[in-house]
Amino acid sequence: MAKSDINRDQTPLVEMRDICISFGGVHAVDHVSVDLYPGEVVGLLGHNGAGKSTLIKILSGAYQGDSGEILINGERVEINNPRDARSHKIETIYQTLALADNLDAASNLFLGRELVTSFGLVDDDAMESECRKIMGRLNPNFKKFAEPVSALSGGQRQSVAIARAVYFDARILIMDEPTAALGPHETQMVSELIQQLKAEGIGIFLISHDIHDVMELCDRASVMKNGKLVGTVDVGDVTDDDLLGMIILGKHPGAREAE
Amino acid sequence: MKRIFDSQLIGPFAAMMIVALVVALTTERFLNPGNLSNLSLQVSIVALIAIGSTIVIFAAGIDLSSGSMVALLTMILAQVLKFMGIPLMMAVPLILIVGGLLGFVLGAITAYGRIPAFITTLAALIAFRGLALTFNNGSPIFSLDPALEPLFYGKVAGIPMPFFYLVFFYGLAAFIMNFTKLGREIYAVGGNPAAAVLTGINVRKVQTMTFVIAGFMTAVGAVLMSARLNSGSPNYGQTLELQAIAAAVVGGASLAGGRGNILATLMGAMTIVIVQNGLNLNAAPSSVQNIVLGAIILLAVGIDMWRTELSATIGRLFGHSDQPASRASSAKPATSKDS
Repeated sequence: MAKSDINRDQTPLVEMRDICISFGGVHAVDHVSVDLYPGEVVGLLGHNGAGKSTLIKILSGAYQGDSGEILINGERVEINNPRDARSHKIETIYQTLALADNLDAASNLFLGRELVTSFGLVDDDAMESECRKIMGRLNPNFKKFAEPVSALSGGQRQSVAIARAVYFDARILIMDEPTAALGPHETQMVSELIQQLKAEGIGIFLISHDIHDVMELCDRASVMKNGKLVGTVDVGDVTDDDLLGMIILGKHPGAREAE
Repeated sequence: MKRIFDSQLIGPFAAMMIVALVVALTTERFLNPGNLSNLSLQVSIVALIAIGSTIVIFAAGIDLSSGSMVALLTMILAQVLKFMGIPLMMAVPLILIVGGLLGFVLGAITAYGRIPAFITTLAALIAFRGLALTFNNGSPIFSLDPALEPLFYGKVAGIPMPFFYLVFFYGLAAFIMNFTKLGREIYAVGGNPAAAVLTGINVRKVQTMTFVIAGFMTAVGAVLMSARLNSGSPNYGQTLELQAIAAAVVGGASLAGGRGNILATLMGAMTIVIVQNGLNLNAAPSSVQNIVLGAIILLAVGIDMWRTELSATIGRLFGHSDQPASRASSAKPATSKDS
């Protein structure tokens, strides 16, 4: 149980202020503000279509917000594409995993930022060796290094996507339903990984449907409904039912403890 | 070198050898040295153009414009050589640059204008042929430059020049596809464009680059076409784009993108040309040749489909549950290291 001992007097790692984005007149995200501190896990909860994935895609550079601002360590930044996000040490594990099925694990791990030799050529040996190292840490049973990732199981594919986010020294990690495709054992592995990353001072946004996951893994939870922020609460101060009420009814449970 | 020669070459190589064997057994003149030499000349133009067509297909695009672009470029080459007095040494690089630029325009329209490559290049297929007709009142231009023909018919150490072009350009293409970031990104864009965007790959730039390569290789083919016939004509290159695409498909490139080996395209081109050569030697009319070309394309795509179905079925029969049937259509490694 993550009893929150996060220091929130310091500058937040991430502040998303007053973010709006519309698609064809639909306010997918409507004046939403969330923040994240070092070593903290903030859960983003809500129904399908509540806007949580859209909000987070603005942070990861997949979408550009119509208005609002993003601050990293108190400094305003422009994130116009996934490359910008990566340069701010923001890494994302997408629900779709964003893997090129036709390529092997190492090629996927380094997709878009391949290791190169001194001649500027892709260095497959170095990439595979690095891939073996990190997979040895994350998923020791992983052996299929020579095969395209289409030949892997759901859990193995997930671990490739996680490895990609962790490998490049992320300071901010976005996990979109990281355990949706996993069995109990692998889910446990992801939980342990989150604890470990937290201890290293990495901030994590965890998008989830699963209230149980959020109660167990997160320090705070921000709940969205119909594109609007219902509220942000400290999970230590609320019950499962409180969160459920926020998700379903959009009802805030009393005072906003976590502000 | 581990990725250049992989298991994906086996099928196209076997197909080429079987076709060669059948033609050799049924056609006595096939193995004459004169015919084999002629064969290598015949295959060179389509095989060089097919390099570009294949790389476009790797990135999940399609290039229908190359045949018409050949006609247009031979007319431009003829125009500058015959009527503008530009020397050959400058005219050839000029044509290669124009080819690359035309490819750039098609690629940019496709990638940045978000128009499907099929439509962009179909429009170009029609428009380039029309543009070719605007030169010299639509008439062919003959007898260009005596120094042009040796580019095609010349020999070094008894080996025809086109052989060296094939070795050079296929070597270069295999190098790009296997050892450069661009090559890796082309496979990634063809395999999963959405993932490529999310991992920070500039997908539009990569797509555009594939068309620049295709335009450049088409220009190489056009120069050789002009050299072969010492002329330019708005009628050159008819259905050449389809032969080039057929070479890619017979070579095992997946039209869905992301999968294939560039060297297999050379084998695909050889296979097609051997079949055509066999039909020629047996005095088959051109109508039959077109029907056969159509059948070969259908068969190659069919085998691609059946192969994945078959591997899925075999997987089920032998209980390899870790190879999901639903993903089998893309399960063949594009850059597999094992063979």
